[in-house]
Amino acid sequence: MLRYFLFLTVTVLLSCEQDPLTVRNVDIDERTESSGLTEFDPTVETGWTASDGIRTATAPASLELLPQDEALTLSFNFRMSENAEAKLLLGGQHALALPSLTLDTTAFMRSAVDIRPDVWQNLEIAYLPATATTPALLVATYLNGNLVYYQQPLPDVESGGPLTLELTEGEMSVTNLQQSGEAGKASSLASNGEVNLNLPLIHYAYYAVDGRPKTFDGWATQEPAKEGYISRFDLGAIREANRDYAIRFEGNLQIPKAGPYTFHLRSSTHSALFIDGEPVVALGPDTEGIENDGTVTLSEGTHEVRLDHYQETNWNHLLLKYSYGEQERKSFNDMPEGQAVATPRSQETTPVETDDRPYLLRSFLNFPMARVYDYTQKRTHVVNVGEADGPHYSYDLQNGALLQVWRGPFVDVSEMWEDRGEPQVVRALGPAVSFDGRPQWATDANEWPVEADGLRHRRYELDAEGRPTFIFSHGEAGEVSDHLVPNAQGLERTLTNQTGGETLLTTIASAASIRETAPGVFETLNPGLNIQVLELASGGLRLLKGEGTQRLVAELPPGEHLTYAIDW
Amino acid sequence: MSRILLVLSTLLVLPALSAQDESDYYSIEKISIPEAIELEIGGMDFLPDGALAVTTRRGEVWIIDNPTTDKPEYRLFARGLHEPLGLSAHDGAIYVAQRGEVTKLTDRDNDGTADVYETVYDMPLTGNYHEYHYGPLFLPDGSFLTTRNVGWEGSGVSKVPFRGWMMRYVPEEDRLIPWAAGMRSPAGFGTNAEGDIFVAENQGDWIGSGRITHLEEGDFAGHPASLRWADEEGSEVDLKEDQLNDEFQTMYRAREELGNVKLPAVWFPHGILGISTAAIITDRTEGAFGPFAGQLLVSDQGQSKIMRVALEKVDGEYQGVVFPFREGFSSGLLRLEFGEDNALYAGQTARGWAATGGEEFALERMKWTGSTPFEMYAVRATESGFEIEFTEAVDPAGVRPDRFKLQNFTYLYHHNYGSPVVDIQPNTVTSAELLPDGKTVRIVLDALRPGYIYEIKLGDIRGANGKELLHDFGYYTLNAIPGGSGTVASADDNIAASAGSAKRPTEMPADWNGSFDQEILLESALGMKYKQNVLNATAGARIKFTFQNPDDMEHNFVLTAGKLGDRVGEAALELGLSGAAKDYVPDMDAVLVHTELVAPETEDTIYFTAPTKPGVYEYVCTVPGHYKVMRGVLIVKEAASR
Repeated sequence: MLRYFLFLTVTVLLSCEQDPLTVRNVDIDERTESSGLTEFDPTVETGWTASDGIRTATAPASLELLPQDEALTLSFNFRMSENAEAKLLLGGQHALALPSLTLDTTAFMRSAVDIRPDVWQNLEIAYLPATATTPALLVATYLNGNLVYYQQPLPDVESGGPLTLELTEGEMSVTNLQQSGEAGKASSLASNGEVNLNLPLIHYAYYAVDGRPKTFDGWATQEPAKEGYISRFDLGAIREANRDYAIRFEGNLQIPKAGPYTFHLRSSTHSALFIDGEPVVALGPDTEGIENDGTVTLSEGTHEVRLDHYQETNWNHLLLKYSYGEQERKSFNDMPEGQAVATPRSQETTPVETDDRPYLLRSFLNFPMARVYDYTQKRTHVVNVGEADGPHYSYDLQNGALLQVWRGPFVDVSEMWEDRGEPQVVRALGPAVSFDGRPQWATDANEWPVEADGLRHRRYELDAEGRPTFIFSHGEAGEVSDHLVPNAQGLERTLTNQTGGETLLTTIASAASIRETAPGVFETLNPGLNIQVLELASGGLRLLKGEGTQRLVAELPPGEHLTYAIDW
Repeated sequence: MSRILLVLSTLLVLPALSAQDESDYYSIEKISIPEAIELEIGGMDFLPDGALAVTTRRGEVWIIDNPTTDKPEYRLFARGLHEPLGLSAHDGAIYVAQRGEVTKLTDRDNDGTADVYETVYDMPLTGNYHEYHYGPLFLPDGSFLTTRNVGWEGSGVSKVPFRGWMMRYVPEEDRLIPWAAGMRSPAGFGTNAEGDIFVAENQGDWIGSGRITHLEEGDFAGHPASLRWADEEGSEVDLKEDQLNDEFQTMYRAREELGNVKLPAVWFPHGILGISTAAIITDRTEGAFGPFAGQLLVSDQGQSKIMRVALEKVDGEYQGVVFPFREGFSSGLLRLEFGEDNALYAGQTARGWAATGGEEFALERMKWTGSTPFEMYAVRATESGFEIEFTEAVDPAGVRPDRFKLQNFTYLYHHNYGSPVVDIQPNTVTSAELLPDGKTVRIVLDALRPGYIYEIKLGDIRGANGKELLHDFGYYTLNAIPGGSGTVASADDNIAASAGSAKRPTEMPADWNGSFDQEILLESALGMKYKQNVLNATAGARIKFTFQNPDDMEHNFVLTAGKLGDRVGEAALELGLSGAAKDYVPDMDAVLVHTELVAPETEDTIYFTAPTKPGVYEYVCTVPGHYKVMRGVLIVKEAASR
């Protein structure tokens, strides 16, 4: 489920007497799968100083990120001081304000934005510049993985300029600048050599078809009823009728590895796939059945993909897969069956109101937080704990992991308590900070488990305020416990090793990077947290350093506890 | 206006003049629920102090003090559980089955709310909504049972252990035993007076109709998906998933071939005696609840009613008869418990699973009025027929063979959803004799077939005091004939049902010359609804009509000749046994056209001409229990003049 590669390289040096807050580094051979984005340096910098990969400036300062106005996915981390203000100028003119994330045009914000000073944030933007006939489009904007804008047009562009970040007030730091020249997730080559094809963004033109023709050929002559962008061949999201419509999908495909590719089409009606204008596979009046495939040899680089679909029957059914070499058949931007893909939260919610006692609500949870149309998974033994306006959190009772934290309203249960509630998932109603979801406890620093082994949830006990302590058995050794208390700053968490004789390791944070700023004080990036270790009498801290992933853990001898606070 | 009043008053007066009513013997009263509480009851149990503990599908546990009075008081004991569908009070704690685990709730500081939520054990889940979890039911030895639904992916699936199983847990050993397999949607289970365990099952794939089955360790109750885990440690189920196929045709034959297929003790004909069997409870009131002490009462969620079961043992195995008992509850009747006042408490919910009664949820109490109805009390099989025992002495004048109408039938055992009634054979009653006890009639039949269900319909049989029968039919499941002999009729090799109707034109009429004026798509939505509640057509238009059913149960489309949805729906209910074989479509002028009974995730296309008279034409799904909520209107407009 999590794509990490676990290999042992260096073992921990055995501890001798020392301050438990001393951090010992342990290199582990674990690395995160590439996001598909590449790091870059700004083209023009005014007023910034760089240290350790972090650019910092006091207003006024500006950073020209990209010189041209072009399609892109941009991701970066930033941190702002109290009262700092900045704006990201898309195409040189559309201002996305930081930290409010407001746009200079009327826009529908899908998540509340709650950016605290002095905490690292992650902003990801997919953007398409204007064309002669269409306005610029903010395809998606995510704050720490939370969808803020989706398919938001940015009207009245005259001529595009560079992508610039301007700091107008206070102090700001920026790091981890990454981008791709596509407004979405591009194809990639996995570290194990597997080819992952993906159209970053698909343009569609939708036509209403009159007169029941045998074939539809009005692509060029007929005016589309509507046009837009989408990330999958999702007929249901576009069609306005059960039949008698046609959709032309077009996108640019990056082929990361040259070779023969086979495309498998399954369609109830007329569908045809073209690459670089050449037919690859089709189903229609001249073909029998509902399945067909075609093979084409593709060179490395960009290819134009077109899928024409004319729905002449009532059964709306379209699947498109690809295979390469010995690789298993994979989805090619279709709506796969039997696999959940993330959708934006409905605008109509059924909120659970908090009251004077913490509300502990068991549910399923889509986790990790997925981009729109990306695959998602369900955690099935989750408890969501909410009180007042937060902080609230979701917690995995199968592995003891803190999954996500947020402030604001508690959860939406419309997918649980309306009708049958088939998804049985809650959605956080505030912008959440989401963690890696891996097991909380381990015995070996070098190989952090992906599945909890030997950990079994036993009970939660509520204290006088109604706040839970989660208690697990750890193999035969005894019990461990976990107590979380929200406060004005964030969450305070106490983890206790009550086993009879086994020293255990417990996670404080896992992030892309973790930096110690003072003894026992840390800041993390992706997710962005400020951490303070409040109590740790013996044992010690370890920073497990992989490639693009780090884990701060505490060693807890039997009877020892760790208390730390997180803020975000 | 005055005419309407007249009609109404006639309706009100008529029943009182002509007939008795179930309510003369068993009255139903509502227990008030505070406005703010969504008491969608998933499970309930009485506490030792007489309070009623209720858990809801939204995860709350309420303690209702003074539940037997008209001033019940509600207090919240726990909340936030994941769709719990069962609750038991045991040893000072409350146990619930939530989706992912069995949980023990304890109030350690005695402040009236739970402060310890203990995971007795948890289980893997795929996240499929249909993986419901029921129980626990404590046994006298301190162990308890729970049941787990299979998931639903167009058919019942068991993708994680032990979906589709009854589990037994032994607390002192912390041992979980996969106890019995073959379940699909075992929403309720209980014990009979002897302490033997019975599970209720809902119609679905491999399950031709509702039923109850006696389960012992190692039993297989019929749905194959669960067998994927039959080899797991602790399982005594000796059967493989691939040993099951459609070719057995009936469960009885599968049992003959394979041995370990547990036959239902009693089948409940779909649509007649329920559509979704749920709670099973034994009348342990020793007469305080009326004359049926020791018998089983089985609730139905979709039809909001209770059936009564009388069992006997033949060749060491249970079989028996089911009768109607009491209908008219307000919502889906999922849970039953007897209170200390010997009234029967009925916990109800209908969200997402529509039920007659029309309310989203309810808590009701049913009391015996003290009068004994004249009823068939029990039916026992004999070597050559049946002994029918009545609740009271029978008027000997009515005991004649022609007053007993019997026929027998069975259900298909196959991967398809549900089954029509198949292989119906009428029986001839050759003699009827009143036994010396004065209240038992022995009837002899021309032939008996083991493995068939016998419909017993009574004519004018009266009590010695002149009392009429309250209910005049029942269904006896004859798995075995006492003595093993009898006249065993030969089973047809192929007993598959056939159906067909002139009002289901699946071919385009030749005179349409291959074209039509309009195409209409109607879809079902989850939760017994049509996605389209309004359809439009032009008068006289030639219509190609497709009904798609993505739901997980069967539905049909029946177009009526006006605002006749209720009339047609009611007539469909009256079809009785032959209902499923006729796709629940009554033969009446009020039906214009209809589709077949469309299985889950399939569709049916018909061709018909829209009514020539503009107006509003109701359409309904006539599957029993659906027509009240699953309906819409076809609006026929005048054709534009040419």
